[in-house]
Amino acid sequence: MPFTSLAFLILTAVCTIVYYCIPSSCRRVWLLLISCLYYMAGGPLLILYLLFAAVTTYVGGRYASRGYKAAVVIPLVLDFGVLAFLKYTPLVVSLLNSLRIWSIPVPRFVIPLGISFYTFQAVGYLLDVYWKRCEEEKNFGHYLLFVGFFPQLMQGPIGRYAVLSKELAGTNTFSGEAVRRGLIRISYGFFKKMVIADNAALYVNCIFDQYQSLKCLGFQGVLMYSIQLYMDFSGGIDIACGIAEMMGIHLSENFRQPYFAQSLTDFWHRWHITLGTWMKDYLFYPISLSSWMSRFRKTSRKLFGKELGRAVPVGAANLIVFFAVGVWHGPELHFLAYGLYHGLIIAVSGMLTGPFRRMKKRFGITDQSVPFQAFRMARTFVLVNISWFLDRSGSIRQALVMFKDSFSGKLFSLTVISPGNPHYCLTRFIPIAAGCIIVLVISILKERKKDVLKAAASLPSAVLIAGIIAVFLLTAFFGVRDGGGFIYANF
Amino acid sequence: MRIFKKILPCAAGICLFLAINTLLCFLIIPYQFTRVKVHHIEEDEIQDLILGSSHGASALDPSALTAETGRSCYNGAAGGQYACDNYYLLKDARRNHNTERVIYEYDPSYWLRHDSMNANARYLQSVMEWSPVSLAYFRDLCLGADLRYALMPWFLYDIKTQEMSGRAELKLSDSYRTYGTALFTDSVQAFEEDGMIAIADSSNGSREIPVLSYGPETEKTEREQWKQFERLLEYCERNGIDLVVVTTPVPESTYLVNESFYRESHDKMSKLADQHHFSFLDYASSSLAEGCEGRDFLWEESSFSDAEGHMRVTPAKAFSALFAKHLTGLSVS
Repeated sequence: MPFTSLAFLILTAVCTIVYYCIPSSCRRVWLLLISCLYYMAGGPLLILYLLFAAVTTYVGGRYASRGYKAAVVIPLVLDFGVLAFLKYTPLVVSLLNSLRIWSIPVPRFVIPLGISFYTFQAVGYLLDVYWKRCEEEKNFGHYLLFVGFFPQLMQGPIGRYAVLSKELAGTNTFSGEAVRRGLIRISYGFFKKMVIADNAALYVNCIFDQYQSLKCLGFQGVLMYSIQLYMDFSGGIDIACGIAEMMGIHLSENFRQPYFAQSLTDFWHRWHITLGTWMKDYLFYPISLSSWMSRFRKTSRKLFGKELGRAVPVGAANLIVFFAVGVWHGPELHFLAYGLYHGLIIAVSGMLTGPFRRMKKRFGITDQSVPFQAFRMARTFVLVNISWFLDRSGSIRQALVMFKDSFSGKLFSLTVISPGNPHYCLTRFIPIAAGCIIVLVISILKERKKDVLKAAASLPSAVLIAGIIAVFLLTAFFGVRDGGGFIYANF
Repeated sequence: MRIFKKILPCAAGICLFLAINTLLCFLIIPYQFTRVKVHHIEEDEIQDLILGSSHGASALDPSALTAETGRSCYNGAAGGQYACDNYYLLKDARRNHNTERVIYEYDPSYWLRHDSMNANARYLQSVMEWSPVSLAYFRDLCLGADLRYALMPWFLYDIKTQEMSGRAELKLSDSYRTYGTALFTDSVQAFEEDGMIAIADSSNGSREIPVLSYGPETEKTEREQWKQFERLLEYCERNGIDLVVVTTPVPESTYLVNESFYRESHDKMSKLADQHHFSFLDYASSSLAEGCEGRDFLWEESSFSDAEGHMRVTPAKAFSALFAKHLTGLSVS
C-alpha cells in the first residue's frame, strides 16, 4: 500500500479521526491494529518477518537488561541473518555460479516491506537496553508498535526507543495546530515526490538506461538523479512525519538541507540522518572504543606521529561504517563502491585536517568567509554527485563509463526524453525547475533557522486549505503516469 | 457552534476541490464511445452481449449475429478493456436486464499487457450509473491505485487548452445528452448503432508484426488476467448465463511468427472450456478454426487494418456471418 494510493489516504484519515475520538488508553492498540493492517496489505504472511524481528529483540531485551551478552548476540545474528539471507542470497549464488563449478538456480525472494528499517530500529532498541541507554519495554504490544508504527515502516525514519515510545504513548490531546502542520508536511511531501521527483525520473531513467548511446549526458543524468533522489526520499519522509504529526507524534527528522553541506561528513549529518546516527552510535563508537582499535591507535601513533596517528584509526572506523552503509543499500557491488567512496573521502579528509587548517591560516581564509563556504558547498555537491553515479548505475563499470563519457561533448539536452516532442519535454522540465526553486527558497529559510512550517500553519484557514488544494491539483497537472514508487521503499 | 466553525473551512475546501475537479474532468476528458456503449448496455434488453477488446469490437457484427440467431445482440467490446472490466460491464448489464449469453472475445495478446493506470477502464467506470456494481468496480480499480487516478482522472489525459472550449461545447450539446454517435465516425472508422467499430476497408495501420511470448513478467500479468476471467466465468455459471469464448482471426503472418504462443494460449483456454463446459471457438488461424473452408481470405493481410489483427469492415461482416452460423450450432440453454 504505497503512500500515494487512495487506500493509504483513507487509512490515514480513518486512523487520525478515530485516534482522537477514542480514550487515550486505547490509542496504542488502535495504532498497532492499523499498523498491522497496513503491513498485511502487502501480503498477510509478510508480517511474520516483522513479528520475528520484534519477538527476538523483545525477548533479547528482557535478558539484555540484566547484562546477558548472549541475549544481544543471538537476536543480532538472527535478525541480521534474516536480512542478509533475503537480500544477499541471490548475490552469493550468482558469485558461486560465476566460478562455473556449480549451476545453482538464483533464488528470488519477496523482500518484506521496510525490513532494513525496522530491523535496524529493533536492533537499536536491543543495544540501547544492553548499554543501559533506555529501560526495557515490558509490554510486547507497546514494543511491537514501536517497531512497526505504520508511517515509518516503509522508508523510515529509523526511530529510537527512548524518544519514540514516549511519542507513541497516546497521551496527546487534539490540536488543530498539529493537524494543520501534518497536512502541510504531507502536501509538501506529495509535491516533492509527484511534481519534482517523478518528472526528474523521466530524465534519469532515459539517460541511465541508454548510457551507451547518450554518451555525453552523464552530468545531466546525475544532476537530475540528485534532484530525484532528494525529492523522492525527503518527500516520503515528509509524508511519514506529516501523518504522525497529525496525531501529535513527532518522528525524528531525516534531512536537514543536505545539499548545503560544507563537507561529506557534514553531508551525512544532514542526509538520511537517522541512518547516519544509527551507524555512529551502534557501529562507529563501538568500533572506536574497542580494545583492538585502542591497540591500533597506539601503533598508529607510533608509526605516523600524534596528529596523523590519531586520524588513521578514525578513518579506518569510518571506512568500516561506510562499508556497512554500502551493504545496507543493497546486494550489488556498486552499492559497496558507493559506501567505500564516501568512507574513503571522509577518512582521507580527516587525515588532511591538520595540513588544511595550516594552509587556511597561511592564506588568511576563515571558515566564516562566504566565498569559502560557497566553494566548500559546491565542492561537496560535486563529490556527492560523483557518488550518485555509483548509486544509480547498474554496475561499477557503467558508473565509470558514464563518468568518463560525461566530459566528451554536450552537457544538457532538454528534449532527450522525447526528441520529437519539445512541448512535452518543456512541460516535464518546467515543474522540475520551478519546484526546485520553491524547495530551494524553503531550504534557505530553514537554514536561517526560520520555522517555515509554523509560519505556514499560522496562515488563515482559507489560505491554507486553498494552498493544499492547489498542491494536490499541481500533482495531477504536472504528474507523471507510472511515476513509480518511492526509491527507498525498496530497501 | 465552535465545532461548526472548525468544520466549515474544511467542508468548504472539499466542496471547492470537488467543483474544480469536476470542471477539469469536464474540460479535459474527451467524450468517448464507451459512454454510448455503457448507456446501451444499461438501458437495452440484450440477449447476447459481446464483450472483449478492440479485436472483438471491430470483428464481431451484432446485426449479422441477430440475423442468424434471431436474438438481440450488442457489441460492448472496446480497446483497453480487460477481463476485470468485462466482468463489471456484465454485472452492470444484469442489474436491469436479463443477459442470456455472453460472447467473450479472447485476444491472448491482450492478456500479456499490464496497464496499472488504465484510462479506458477508469472512463468506463466513471460513465456507469451509480450503483453497487459501479462502486465495487471503483473499489477494485482505484483503492490500491494512485490517488490521482482515483480522484482526479483528468490526470490521465493530455491537457490541450485549445481543445477545451470545443470539448465543453460538445458536452453541452444535444448530441451528447442523447448519446449521439456521429462524432465517432470519420474516414478511418464508424461507430455503428449496435456497438460495432467498423474499420474502413481503406484504412491502414502499423504493419509491424508484434512478437508475443510468455516470459516471467508477462506470465505474471497473464495469471492475473486468468484470475479475472475466471471471476467472469464463475459469475456466468452462478447466474445461468451461457458463455461462448471466441478468438477472432489474426493475419496469417502474425500467427506464423507467434505460432507457439497462439497454440499455447489456445490449449489453455480449451482446457478451461472443457473443465467448465463452455464453448470456445478459436479463429486465430484457419488451422485452428473448423468449418471455415473456402474462406481463406479471412486470414489474408488485406482483411486487416494492421498486423495486430483489427479486422476491416467487409471481412468482419463476412466473418460475423460465419461465426453466427457456428453459434447457432451451439446449444443455448
